[in-house]
Amino acid sequence: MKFTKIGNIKEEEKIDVLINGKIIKAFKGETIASTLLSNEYFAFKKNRKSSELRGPFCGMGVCFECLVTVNKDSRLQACVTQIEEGMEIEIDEPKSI
Amino acid sequence: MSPNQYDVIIIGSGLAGITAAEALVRYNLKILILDENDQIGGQILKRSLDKQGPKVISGSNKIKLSGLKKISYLKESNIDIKKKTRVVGILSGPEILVEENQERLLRYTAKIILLATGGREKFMPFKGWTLPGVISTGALQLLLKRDNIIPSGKVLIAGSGLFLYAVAHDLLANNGRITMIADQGRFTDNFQVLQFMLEQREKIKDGIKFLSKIYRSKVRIQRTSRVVEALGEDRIEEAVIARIDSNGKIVKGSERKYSTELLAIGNGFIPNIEIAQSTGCELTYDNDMSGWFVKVNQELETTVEGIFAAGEITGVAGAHKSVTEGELAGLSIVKKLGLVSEDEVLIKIRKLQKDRVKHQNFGKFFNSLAMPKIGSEDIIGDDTIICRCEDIRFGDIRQAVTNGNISAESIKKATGLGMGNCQGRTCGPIIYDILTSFFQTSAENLQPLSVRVPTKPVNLSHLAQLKKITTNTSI
Repeated sequence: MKFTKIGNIKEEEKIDVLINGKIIKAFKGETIASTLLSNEYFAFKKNRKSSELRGPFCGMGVCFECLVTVNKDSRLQACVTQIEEGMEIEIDEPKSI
Repeated sequence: MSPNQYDVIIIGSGLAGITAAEALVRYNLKILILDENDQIGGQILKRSLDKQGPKVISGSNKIKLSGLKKISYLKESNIDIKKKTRVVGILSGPEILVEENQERLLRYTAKIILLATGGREKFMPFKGWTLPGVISTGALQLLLKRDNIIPSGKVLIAGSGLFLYAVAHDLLANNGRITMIADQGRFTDNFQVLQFMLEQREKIKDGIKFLSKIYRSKVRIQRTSRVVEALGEDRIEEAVIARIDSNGKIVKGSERKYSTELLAIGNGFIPNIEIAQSTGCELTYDNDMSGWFVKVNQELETTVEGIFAAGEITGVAGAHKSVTEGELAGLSIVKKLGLVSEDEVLIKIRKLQKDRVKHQNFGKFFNSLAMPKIGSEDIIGDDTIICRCEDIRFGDIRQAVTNGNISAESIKKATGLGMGNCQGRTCGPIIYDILTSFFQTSAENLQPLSVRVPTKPVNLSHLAQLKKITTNTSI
């Protein structure tokens, strides 16, 4: 199960990004959350108290459950941040617990 | 006027904000619109950037088209529009503190401020609602509208209110698949919906269109039912659906497990009151008006002079009310600034005020469907997470109440609830429901959680770069 694009996909709209060091195809103009969900990542981070995995929830910049590390330093909300070519995104994975 | 000084600053570019801006354009004022999103138009007009969006999305096309037209009109006008600019507080002056592009803090001043900050979804917690793969119904719709993506597997939709059906419709119209819709409301509510829509002609077409799509698709709709638990390891695998009685308790033996890879939940909408509240605007609590909302007079001025409010923040009632209030706020503002005489705008204002009441009545009905009882202790147990950010559970709250903390604010201080990144935006509405349902607090005795500047998380280094700050507001 993952999210899939509807409509026609044009090759020139694809861009390369890094998710936890892995090269992934993303689409110009989509949010970081969209890229992650389209690649079967549903958990984005661990809760800092319980270490439970959390994923995007409100989808509109309210709940902060979708915080990801972008280009090593900033913690951004994946649901309201546009993906850009060459972005390095780091998320917490189950294995990393 | 210095570059950061404006006559009118509009916070929020949803339907209320852009309609107000449109009404103000011709008066030759210096106007600024601020929005935290990377698009103008608010949640309702969120759209894909490549114009090859999803086929059908529920909601009034007429309203949406006119909204998009307003946006292109404003872009051509001399109004300043700033996207990706998040207001983090209004200090005295009034001086608006914003974080621009997540890069730096800036200050703007205005003679008049219009708050058009919109609304967000409300939720009723259950065990496992924090599992990855449990998302809000609004998020599901936004991913479809904004990012053109749809789940490849089946989705279980659960919660209350008409929006469940709007999202179900949008999924089906774009070849999505649905396991079932678990609606906390009763079957008879649907007749009430239709009856109500008959009185509101503009809404009837949309309503019938989306309900008939769902009925034709033969998606299972189970009423007076809700999710009582979500199960899974690192991601949702199963949801337990049970029937509930009129007290919000599980009907014994009615629990059924459904395997699902995605669970979309939502219980109506509430206003984004935080910026208004931090500025000192008085709030009112009324469950029929979606909980806490900003108190305004007939001309939409808040209790703070010079600060107006329009749209969902004055009580959730949907798109039509936002448009009406946007226009009303625009006229009230030019009247306040002395640019028109009372006589010139009186008839128009009266008409808008009348429309507003009509839309408010729809809102009350809409909200009443979305807000059944939050549940009982067989659904919300001691280990159920209430505050997602700080991992505060129902048991922590019960303990705090037992220790004498009977207000939301003292529970916050005792447990740390609402002190995380979202600053109580998600758990705040839940705690008011918990206080009234579980601990017999009357609505009149409820107090809102306090809000302080910065009202959204700000990078400390950005704050440090800000040279001078007005200090007579708590920061």
